[in-house]
Amino acid sequence: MLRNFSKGPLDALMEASHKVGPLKALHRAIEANDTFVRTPKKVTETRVHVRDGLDTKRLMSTVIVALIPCLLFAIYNAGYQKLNGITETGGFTLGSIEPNTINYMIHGAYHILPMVAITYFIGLHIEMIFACVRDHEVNEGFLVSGMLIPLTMPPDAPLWMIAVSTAFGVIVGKEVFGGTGMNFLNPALTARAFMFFSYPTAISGDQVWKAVDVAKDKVVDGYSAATPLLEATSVRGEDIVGHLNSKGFSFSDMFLGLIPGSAGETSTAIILLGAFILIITGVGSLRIMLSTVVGALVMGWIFNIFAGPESLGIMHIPAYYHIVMGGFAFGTVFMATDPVSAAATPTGRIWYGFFIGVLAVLIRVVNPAYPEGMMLAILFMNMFAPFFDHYVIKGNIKRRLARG
Amino acid sequence: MGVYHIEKGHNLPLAGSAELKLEELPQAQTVSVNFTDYPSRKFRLFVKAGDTVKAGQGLCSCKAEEDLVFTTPVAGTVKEINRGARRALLNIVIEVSDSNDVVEYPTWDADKIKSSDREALAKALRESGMWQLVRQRPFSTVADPQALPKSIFINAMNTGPNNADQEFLVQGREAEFAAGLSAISKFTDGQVHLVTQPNSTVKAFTEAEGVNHHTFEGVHPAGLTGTHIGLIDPINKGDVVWFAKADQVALMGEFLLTGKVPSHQVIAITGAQAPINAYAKVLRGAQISDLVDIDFDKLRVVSGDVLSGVAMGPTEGLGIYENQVSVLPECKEQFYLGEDRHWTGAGVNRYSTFRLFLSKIIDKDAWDLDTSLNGEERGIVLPDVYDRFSPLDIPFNFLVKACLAEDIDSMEKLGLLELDPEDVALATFACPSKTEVSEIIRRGLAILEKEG
Repeated sequence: MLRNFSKGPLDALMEASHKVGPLKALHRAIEANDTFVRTPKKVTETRVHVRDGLDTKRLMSTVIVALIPCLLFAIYNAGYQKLNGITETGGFTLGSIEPNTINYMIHGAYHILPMVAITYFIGLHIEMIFACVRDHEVNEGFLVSGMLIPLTMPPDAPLWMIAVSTAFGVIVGKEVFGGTGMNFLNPALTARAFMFFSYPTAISGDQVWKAVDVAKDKVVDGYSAATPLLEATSVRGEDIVGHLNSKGFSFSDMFLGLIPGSAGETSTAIILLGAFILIITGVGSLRIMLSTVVGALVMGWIFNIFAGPESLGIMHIPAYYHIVMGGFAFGTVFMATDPVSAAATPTGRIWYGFFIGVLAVLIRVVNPAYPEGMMLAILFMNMFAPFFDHYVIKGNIKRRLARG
Repeated sequence: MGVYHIEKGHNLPLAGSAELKLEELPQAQTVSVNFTDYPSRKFRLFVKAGDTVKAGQGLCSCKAEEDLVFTTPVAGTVKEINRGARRALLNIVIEVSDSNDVVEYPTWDADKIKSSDREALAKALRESGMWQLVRQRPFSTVADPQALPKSIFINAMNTGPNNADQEFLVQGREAEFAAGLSAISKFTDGQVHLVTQPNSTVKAFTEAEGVNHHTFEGVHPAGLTGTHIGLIDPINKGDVVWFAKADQVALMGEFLLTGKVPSHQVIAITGAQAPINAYAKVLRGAQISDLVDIDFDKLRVVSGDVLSGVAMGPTEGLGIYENQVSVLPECKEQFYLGEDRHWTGAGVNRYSTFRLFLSKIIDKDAWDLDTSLNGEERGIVLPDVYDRFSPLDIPFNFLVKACLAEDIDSMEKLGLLELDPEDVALATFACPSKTEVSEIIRRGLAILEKEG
């Protein structure tokens, strides 16, 4: 069907971008488009004559499928937070708006979808330029990063900042090292880290976590865009659970996720659905996910032991609360499990995940400036992943030498 | 006497396995003696195009080892001597005649083999072109009688896609197998390991003398020699292990008992696209187009199995180490967005070891896989895939990267010497980045072999 009317134009384009054709410089971009619409003609040319049906396109698409629930929830939540926090908005429509699902989705989409669009637009164009200049195929890695980056941003982050961060993430996080499969840092987190360090006011503080512009929109009484993490790190004393409950942040509230926060990170329930998809298809590493959670629980428990009556609320918080607060769940399921930047050996992965969990909680508790530690923990462990693998491999080599 | 159950790996459910019966095929008119089975050797020719040769006559010898002779299994006329890049000898094509001219070598009975010394036996096998059937690891080259092995492995089983069944091939050939086994066993002071499937019904295997009998079962690569060696007596730096397939041991025994270079061997013709799926007794090296009628434009014909074999042209024949012909369809089609075999499709007809296609739910146990790459080559994105398809204790991802970096020290330390490219064929099959793992290992081995 599609075959009938696209074969001609596609063949013509490929012909024109051939080695001596007029569109030679755009060959890789045209080829990327071609291999999107139809499978390449490539056949096996070595002694392994048959191949598995899975390719990187399908692999990356599966991660996107696991992220779509997060995206949909992000849209809903952005709308929900906004419409339940204001009485009037001077932005989209005049007058007050009925708080119902349709309106949540419409208003949420207004904030979230441009972020997704700009990320893909910038990222894919940069990938194509690199592919054309270096003369290699456009890699599919960005299909996933392009969805991850906007979901880690505050719901109303300025689009130009996201664009610049995405460019940095793709270029320095990946292309500089040779493209997909060669990076040692998670490109989506590299983009977010750039955003965090370059434009800290856009990504921290207690005003950015709802898509509400306090200058333009009229807010309700008692309006607050503070996240659970901000609350937990701004009070002291043992009854932190009670304090959080009073702010509308009970465990089930945070698990469900209709709370302020980064676009896709708030709902642990929805993230668990994504985790289920990744695990059942074998794409995501359950090992990394579990060891990260264990690491966080251990560190949270240690802090509980050392917490005194004057300690910050976050030290007193039950360890399992860390999983539903902030970007922990999202990072565990979608960022830490990136197979290229994680450790490669099974044992290495256990240590890698464990220390991500430990470090995330550690940074949350002792960092005075910024309460979220997940991004930094994962990036730091990305750097240490080869270290863990190195020692596992050393053990393997030792076993082999001992045989001889 | 070990019992091994292999769980790491995968059985490829390929359609077109050979029925356990012998089919009558027309006698081939041309035979091709392959020299691509011996890479990086140089040969001194004894014959030229147009010469008449007797069955068992020497065609050439190896320049580096002048006593290693390569013989023709049939009588006839030398039709062509084909060379490739840098005058490398590719094959010698013999046009078969009905003459009964045979070179008669001395015969050996069981006692004579037992009482003989190594040198005499080696000489007899090397001058008749039968020695080549025994190879050594590392590097899978023809066994070197100057470097005696710490152990010898006889592979009497197979788990690869549509492999010829060793049980069927050696059934009834007790005397030949025993003679060959007895001869090979002379060349080690260590153990001779015979590996079969559990509950073998072949007397030649169950009553074999002087061997350590092991059984392997489970998923492929349970049937590969590399797996056997790796789990029973792994190769460390400096070790040499010899190996041979059971049906080739029987060929050696046939030579010793009869004094004549065997002219025929039983092979399996497999693949749903092949005109027949059965065994046949054919001339060794028979030109494939003489045996079966195949459209070489639409189909790919492979000497060996689809995971490790060499593609053949119509005038070529099976390599000396192979007993299987695999026929598979060439993929000439492209699939479009919305179609089942597109990368976005449901994938009812797309076979995969991963749980990402509808084909996983369908109960189909015979797939006629084609030669589609099913993707394009990319950087390695799933580094843990390779380890899932081999039971060996080798960190394959790191070994592949060491080979790519030509880091000789790491290649050795990570166990490259234990491998043959066929041992990582399943990894190559499964890798979603379409990385040519087998080729990378092959190149790594070539580098190590050169370093000495």
